Amino acid sequence: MEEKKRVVVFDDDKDLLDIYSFIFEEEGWEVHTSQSCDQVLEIVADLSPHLILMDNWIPNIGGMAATQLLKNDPQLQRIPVMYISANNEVAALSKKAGADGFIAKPFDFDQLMELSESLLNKQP
Amino acid sequence: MDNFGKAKHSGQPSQQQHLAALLESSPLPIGVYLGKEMRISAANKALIEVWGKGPDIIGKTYFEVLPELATEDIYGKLLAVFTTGIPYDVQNQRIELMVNGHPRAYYFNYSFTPLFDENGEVYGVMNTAADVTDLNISKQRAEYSEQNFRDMILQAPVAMCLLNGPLFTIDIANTAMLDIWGKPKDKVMGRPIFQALPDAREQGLEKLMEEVYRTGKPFYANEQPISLIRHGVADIVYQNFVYQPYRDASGNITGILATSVNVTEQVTSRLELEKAYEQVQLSKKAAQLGTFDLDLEKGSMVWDQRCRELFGIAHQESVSYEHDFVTGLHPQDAKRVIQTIENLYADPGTKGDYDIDYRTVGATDGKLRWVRAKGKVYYANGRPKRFIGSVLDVTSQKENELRLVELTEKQARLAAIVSSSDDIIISKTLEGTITSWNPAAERAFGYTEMEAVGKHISIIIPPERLDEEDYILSQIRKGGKVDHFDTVRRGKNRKNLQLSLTVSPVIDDHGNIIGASKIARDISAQVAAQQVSDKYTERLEILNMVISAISEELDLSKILQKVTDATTELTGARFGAFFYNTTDQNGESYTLSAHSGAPRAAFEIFGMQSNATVMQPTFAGEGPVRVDDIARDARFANGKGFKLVNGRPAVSSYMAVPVTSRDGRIIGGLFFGHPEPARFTMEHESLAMSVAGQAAISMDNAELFEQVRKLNDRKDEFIGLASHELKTPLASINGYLQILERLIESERPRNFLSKASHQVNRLTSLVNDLLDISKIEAGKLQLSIGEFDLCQTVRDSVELIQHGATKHTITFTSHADRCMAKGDPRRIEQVIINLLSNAVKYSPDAKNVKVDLSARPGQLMVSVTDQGPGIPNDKLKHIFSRFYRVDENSPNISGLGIGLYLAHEIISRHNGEIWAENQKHGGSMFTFTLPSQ
Repeated sequence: MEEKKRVVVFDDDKDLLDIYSFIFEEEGWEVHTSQSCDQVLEIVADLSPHLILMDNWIPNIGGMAATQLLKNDPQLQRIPVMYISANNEVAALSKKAGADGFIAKPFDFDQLMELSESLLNKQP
Repeated sequence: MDNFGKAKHSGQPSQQQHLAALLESSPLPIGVYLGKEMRISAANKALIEVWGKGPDIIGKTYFEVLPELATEDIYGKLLAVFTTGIPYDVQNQRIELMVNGHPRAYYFNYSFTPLFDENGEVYGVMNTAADVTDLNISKQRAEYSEQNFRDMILQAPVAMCLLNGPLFTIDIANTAMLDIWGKPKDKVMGRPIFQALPDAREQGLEKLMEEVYRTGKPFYANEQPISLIRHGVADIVYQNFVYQPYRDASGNITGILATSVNVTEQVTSRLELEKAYEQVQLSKKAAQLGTFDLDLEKGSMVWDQRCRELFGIAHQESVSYEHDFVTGLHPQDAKRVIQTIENLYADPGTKGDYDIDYRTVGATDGKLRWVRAKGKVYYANGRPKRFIGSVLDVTSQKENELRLVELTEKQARLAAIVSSSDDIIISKTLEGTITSWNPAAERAFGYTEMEAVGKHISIIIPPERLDEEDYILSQIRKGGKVDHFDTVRRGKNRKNLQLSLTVSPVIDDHGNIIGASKIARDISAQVAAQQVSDKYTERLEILNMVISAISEELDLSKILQKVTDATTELTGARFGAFFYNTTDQNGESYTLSAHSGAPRAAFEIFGMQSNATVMQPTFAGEGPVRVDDIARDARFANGKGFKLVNGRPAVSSYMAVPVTSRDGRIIGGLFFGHPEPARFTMEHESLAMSVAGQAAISMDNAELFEQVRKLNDRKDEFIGLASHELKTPLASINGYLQILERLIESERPRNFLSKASHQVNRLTSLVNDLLDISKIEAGKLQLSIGEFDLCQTVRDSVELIQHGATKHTITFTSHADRCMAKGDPRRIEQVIINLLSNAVKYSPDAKNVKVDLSARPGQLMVSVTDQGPGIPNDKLKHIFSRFYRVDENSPNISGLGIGLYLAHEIISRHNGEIWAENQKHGGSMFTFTLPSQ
């Protein structure tokens, strides 16, 4: 049997974490969540997910810094990061930080899943 | 004539007629007289003219017509011909005829020819005549005049001679001429004149005569002296003479007629007269001495003519001492003269010598004369007896003397001016030798007059300026002037003087330029003032530069550094610092913000609490402080606050200026120091104040800028926060709604969920718009410009709107072959969606919305047309304003009225245009353009 796809979601909003969990689990993903990104490297290294969802507003260092950390880590940089923000303007900044995709809040489920799948497929 | 002579009286009418015709046409006068009474039967025109008696002479007798000939022998001759039948013929007969009432002499060659009838009897006489009067007269005249001429010459009362031919042979010469020549007649006649009179040669006469002979123009001489040897004695003869050409009958010059008047006597006598006149004049001059003679015993006075003249007395009557002498004296001189004379009279010890000058006022002419009187009083027994002397007119002498005095005075005045002038006045020759040197020159150059005069002007010219003197002298030699020539001259002490020179030529009485006068003004002070002014201008420029540099700066710390550096340099301070007027937690301390010229540590101490007293006046609002020597100033505790502690700068000169904000608050102060005393001047103070003033403004600006920057930063924060805080709950709601949609299968609840989702989407869109506006205002609306397919973007947007719009059909037509545009596709999509949703929203009763894409060179154009009510024309220009809504047409339609404003902003940022217009048949059309790729 094929290994379940794992996603780690970094967001401080409990409700949204629930929603992400619902969607991904419904699609057959294994979902891990974190309300802080302070331990981002450890968490990701520990879980070795296929995809990372990173919210912009997340304590304490913020999603942008966390993305940079991930993308500067030789072991972890290959894992795709999908950046999420309520602010469309952040899209360009996140790309600069190394994020592989961007989705604005509020989001459409289908859209979210479509983008997620495409990020996975891009991997070598 | 022969035909006439042999003609017979035939009575033949034809012959008669023939004769008559001949007779009439003859140019010679012909007449025919019949019978003894000599009745005129025929007379031709020529004869009638000669006689001058009119035409009605036919039928009259010869004697009737010509009664004036009765005295002549004509009648007899004529009758003799008639009676004898012998013709009479005469040449050059003078006949006097009365012509037109006047007697006139004629000369005729004429003939009387007898006319014979058949019987050989004389029946008449034919008279023919030829008028030879003209010939006769000229001949006579010629004969007469030749003789006459010779007679005239010989008898002329003046000297005349006729000289013939080119050698001027003496033909005729009268006695008077022979007398002038002083030669016997037989020695000169028939000889060329210059042979006969060799003594007349080479005095120009030959040439004169030749000239007259050649040209025919007479020559007139007046009082011409000619030297001759007359009767063996050399003499000079003054002559008025004329040489006239002498012509023959055909007008050729054959000689010269000389007429001469000996004016020797007149000339000599006149010359003698002139000489005599001169002598008279001389003697008159010599006789200017007048004489006077007073007989003091008798009381009489005798004046000669000259003496009388000197007193202006015209009459010849006797004169008196009182009446004529005393009253004749000039009032200003009378007392003195009379006193002198009385002294002489009174004191024989004077020996009576009288020698005095006085003025007289002419008794009749009122003229003022200067008189020099000399004389002697003779005494007898100690009493004056006689007073004799002479007087001389010395008026002109006196006048000259006075003029001289005046001139001398003038010169003295001039000299006084020159010597008292503050201007340097020097004169020099054209060679540059100094000829005068006034005290001002002495003061300026240090050379005394003695030292300078006679030297060359180059003693005061710096070697590098010697050329100037050549220039100046060349100008002067030309008679020119050199005005306000600013230059440098050198004094005895080698110190240079700034001078302004004016050099003019010195001209003598005859108008010759003999030198130059130089007036120089020491303009060292002016030049120094100019230099100060220049320096001041220079500083102002620096100041201006500093100020503009400061005002461009918005970074407070940089401003303070610039201000401090600039003022330190401008004031020449050894060090300077800016202290903020703020206290730290410890209380009385000021904060050092910028420093110049010394290490920071030095100033840190400078600003510490212990030294607060130094700065206190500045921060207390007492204005600028400037101290020459702080160690001697009680205000600063005689420098105690500045005591040296390890490398701390020593301060002697101190200056401080406050930096005051717009609202009057003293923000801080600029402090300057210099180890040497008295380094700061009023000028430094004002410079520092100027910079401080500008610094305050700049600091205010910087503060404002800082505040704005902070506010802006907060706005950024707000936008971010608002996005997050507003959208996160929306995202949650939206998420849950989607979960529910997936969980609930019954139709009714799903329908409600769908409506909830729709409202959430609307809310999301509104929040986005509001955030976009915030971004625009903060200047934070970011565009990701790139190349994109506008056609695709339009299509996607149409699809999206069509999806939600059930009543309308949106038709998209692309007229462009290529529709690659330059811009941010997401923002352009936002604009298209906005326009489409408006079109749908504002035409609720219509069915169609039309979208067109077309290309123009360099741009693409998208238009959205609806079939709604359109927009009132007066509203058209407002619809792109923020929060503007066309209310009355859409009272039920919701919206914030920011969609079109955003669209306008976005298109403008893309360098495109957006506008709205109403369709002819209702409905509105929105169009925008974008630059194409």
